[in-house]
Amino acid sequence: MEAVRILVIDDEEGMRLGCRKVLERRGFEVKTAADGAEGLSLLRSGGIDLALVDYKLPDRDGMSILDEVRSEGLDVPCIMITAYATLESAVAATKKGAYDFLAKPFTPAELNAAVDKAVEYIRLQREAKRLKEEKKRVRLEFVRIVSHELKAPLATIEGYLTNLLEGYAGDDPEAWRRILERCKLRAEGMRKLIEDLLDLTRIESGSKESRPEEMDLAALLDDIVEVFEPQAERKKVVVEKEYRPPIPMFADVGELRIVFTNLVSNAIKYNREGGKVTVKAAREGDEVTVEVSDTGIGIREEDRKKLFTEFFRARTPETRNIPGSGLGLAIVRKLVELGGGRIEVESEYGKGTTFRVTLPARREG
Amino acid sequence: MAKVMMVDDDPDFLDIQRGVLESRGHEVITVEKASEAVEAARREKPDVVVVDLMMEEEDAGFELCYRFKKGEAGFVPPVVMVTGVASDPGIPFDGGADGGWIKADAFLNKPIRPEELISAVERLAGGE
Repeated sequence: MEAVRILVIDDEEGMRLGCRKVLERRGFEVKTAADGAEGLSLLRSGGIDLALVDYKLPDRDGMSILDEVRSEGLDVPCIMITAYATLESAVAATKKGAYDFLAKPFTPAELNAAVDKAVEYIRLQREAKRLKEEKKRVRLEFVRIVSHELKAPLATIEGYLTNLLEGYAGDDPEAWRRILERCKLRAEGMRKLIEDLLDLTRIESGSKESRPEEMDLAALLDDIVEVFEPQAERKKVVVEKEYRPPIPMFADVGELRIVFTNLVSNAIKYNREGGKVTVKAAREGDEVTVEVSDTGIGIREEDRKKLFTEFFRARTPETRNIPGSGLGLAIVRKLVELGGGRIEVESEYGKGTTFRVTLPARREG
Repeated sequence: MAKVMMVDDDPDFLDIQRGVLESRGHEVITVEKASEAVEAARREKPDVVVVDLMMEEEDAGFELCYRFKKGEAGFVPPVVMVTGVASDPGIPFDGGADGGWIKADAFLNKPIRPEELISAVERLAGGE
């Protein structure tokens, strides 16, 4: 944490010097003022994190400083120094926003204790502010990326349609057909992105309720592999299953379907033509492990760390023409963690990648 | 009729603009990698080069434009810069606003209207 700057407003010189000595020894930056006017002008000029204010000042009541601090929105907690610590004055000062009290005479230890408490409060305030700003920044960045990701395919579709409508596309029906197919593909990409965003939002907001049930993981994996059969065939990718049914689990089928659909889809998408995908699964004790391996393009070391980050897509010559929202693995990780499991990745660039998901066989609650 | 070279890493964008320029009878060469553009230009001698600012690396387009203007292709072609950034933060983005340090001959903001591209390309191709 940055240095805390403390202002001592007191008309007694001994008091100012004493506080300065004690606090400077602790590494605080200390300023002093002998009356209310000087104190307020220092407070207004900024650069003060905490003020020690004497109740009785020659030119004004210490309490009125609290009023000024509050009405001017100066974000400085004040500790009131008082010679007569009565309950009434304490209540009155608290109402005006005093953070704490010190009754005169006080020892260096009492001063330190009061200041430490206030400093901890300031630290928490700063941390809260930083988190709030960070959150805002992340949200803005998210909106910026989403807008960009949605705008890009839309611009493409608009461009193609303009060409068709305004006579820049020739009159060959085959050429028209190809253009319309591109439009459809980009529109599908947008729809997938929006669906992924909704999934992600549901998971993050906690509004997605998991519904664990008795299920057979082997049957689910069979089902997913079957759905991807045509896509694998187009790429001449063979999908091999290495597991023995049944693999009984107590888990949310919908969540697991999203997880393994993403992993199998990636293993095909990022594979080489004529490659292989292996889906292994086994239950060992209380855990179930699923491995999805491919013989594809692999993931570079520097990309591996960012793999589960929203919108991150590894940019290599090979991935350039593979469509994707950049959200799939972010969703996968969130769902796996939601289910009490973990996901690991092993990869060799140019050789292939294995994702390993380990989940409790029986999900709790 | 002009020979136009377009450099952009988005194949759809190249495809769309190719349609626009070819319908006007221009010859279009497309290059998807900024790093290959200078060599391609040396070989093909285009009358105009159209470069997207935001390719692979964020400054690949700027860099490429600069290399063209330094004559690295063996001649100095007129360059049209295409950008999608201008409209985002609301920055007016043209040769004047940036003090002319990006030595492009024309700027076009994405999304590009077909007639804008045609007029920029035809003005620069016939302008020598």
